[in-house]
Amino acid sequence: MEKILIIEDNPMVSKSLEFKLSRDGYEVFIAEDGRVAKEILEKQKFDLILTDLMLPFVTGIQLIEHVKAVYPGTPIIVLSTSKQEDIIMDAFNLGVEDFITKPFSPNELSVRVKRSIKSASLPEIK
Amino acid sequence: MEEFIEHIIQNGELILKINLIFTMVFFLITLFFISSILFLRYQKILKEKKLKKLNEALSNFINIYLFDESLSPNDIKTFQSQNLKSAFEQKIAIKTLLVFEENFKGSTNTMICDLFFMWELDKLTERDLKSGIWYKIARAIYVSSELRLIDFKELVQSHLNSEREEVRQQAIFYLITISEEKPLEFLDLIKTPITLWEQIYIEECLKTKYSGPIPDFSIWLHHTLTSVQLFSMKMISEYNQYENIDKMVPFLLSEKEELKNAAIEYLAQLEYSELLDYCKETFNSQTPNTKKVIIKILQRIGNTDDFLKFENRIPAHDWMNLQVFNNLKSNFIEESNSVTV
Repeated sequence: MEKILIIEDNPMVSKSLEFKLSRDGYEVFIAEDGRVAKEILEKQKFDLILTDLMLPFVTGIQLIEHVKAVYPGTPIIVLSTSKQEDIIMDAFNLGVEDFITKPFSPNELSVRVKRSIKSASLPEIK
Repeated sequence: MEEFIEHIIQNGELILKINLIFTMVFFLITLFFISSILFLRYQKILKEKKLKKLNEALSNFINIYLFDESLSPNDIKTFQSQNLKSAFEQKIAIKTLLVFEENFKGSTNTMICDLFFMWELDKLTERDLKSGIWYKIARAIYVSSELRLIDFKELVQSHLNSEREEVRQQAIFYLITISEEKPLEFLDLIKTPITLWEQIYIEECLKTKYSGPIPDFSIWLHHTLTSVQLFSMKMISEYNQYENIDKMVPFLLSEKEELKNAAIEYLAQLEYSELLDYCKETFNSQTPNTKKVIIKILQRIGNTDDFLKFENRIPAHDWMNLQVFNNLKSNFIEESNSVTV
């Protein structure tokens, strides 16, 4: 079973995401801020990371930098508001795979998660 | 202690007796206050506990409803009868649904709206809309806008001329949000002048909450309220509705100074070609305020010479407009020098 780490400070949103992705057959872990996420990441590797950008303690961008340094192959999907354009560009420059704006469609999210995990698991063509 | 008190009652002086009475009264009052505080605190803890439990139950239920598809209409009704009995519980349910609505879109939002009706929360919203209490009305209109409850259109429209600004703003927000092609239809029903903040608010809602065709703003050029007429001119210029220039030109001869000034300002923004001639011909007969507007738009509608020619036309006693002119002139000279360098 593929493992997904969700980093989201709104408990209602993270709970819904957990519920939806669990129903889709993933093992879901929740971190309410970037600091907790870093602690979880020290203990295990994930198949996908779904993160907000506006997080307390450690920002989304700092977290993406950390993940890309420690687990360069792990796909990251950013889930954030469309108003943060400059930060979105920074995230893409750091190698984020996908971006979903809030409000979002849970079904669309499912498809994107599935696609990102599938792309990451494909062998690289040399 | 008892003996001591008894001794005072039987043999003590009057002052001691009064002292004793006051001590007892204060003791009882203190006791009453401490018990009240403890009781209220306990009530608050109970309420918070209940609220937390309800929030959790609601969140779990909504998630199952949205993503599990295993719930029957009966389950929804059972949840309602068990958990959403009081107005307080129904308000919490509405709040939770709004959080979901805010974060999701597409078919999920339609499902959230369906759940709102299945739980009969529309009844509470309708009751609040009819309550006559401004904060309840404002909140109910907000809920109606967020969930796009078009059935309440007439009720909301009845609050358009409310005495409370908050209610008026929410009504405007609702009517623009639910509109599919005539977002400013409500302007025909407005009887109180729209404030500058409301104008900004309408403009903002139009940009963010409405996706249909942009209305022809000239419809409201002859509204009974001057504020609506001014807003209409502003919007014509904002949305570059050049086809409405001819309808704005008559306002250059308006007897109302604010309408005339607005016409000059917005026609200048629309680059109306005959505006410069109008300014040249009528400048001397205009009021100081209108002269000020003309001075400010001169550089936009004419060239530098046109602008400089007006210097001698400002009377010496009109120090305000002379100052405006000199400021613009010095800015212009500074800009020219920097271009030359």
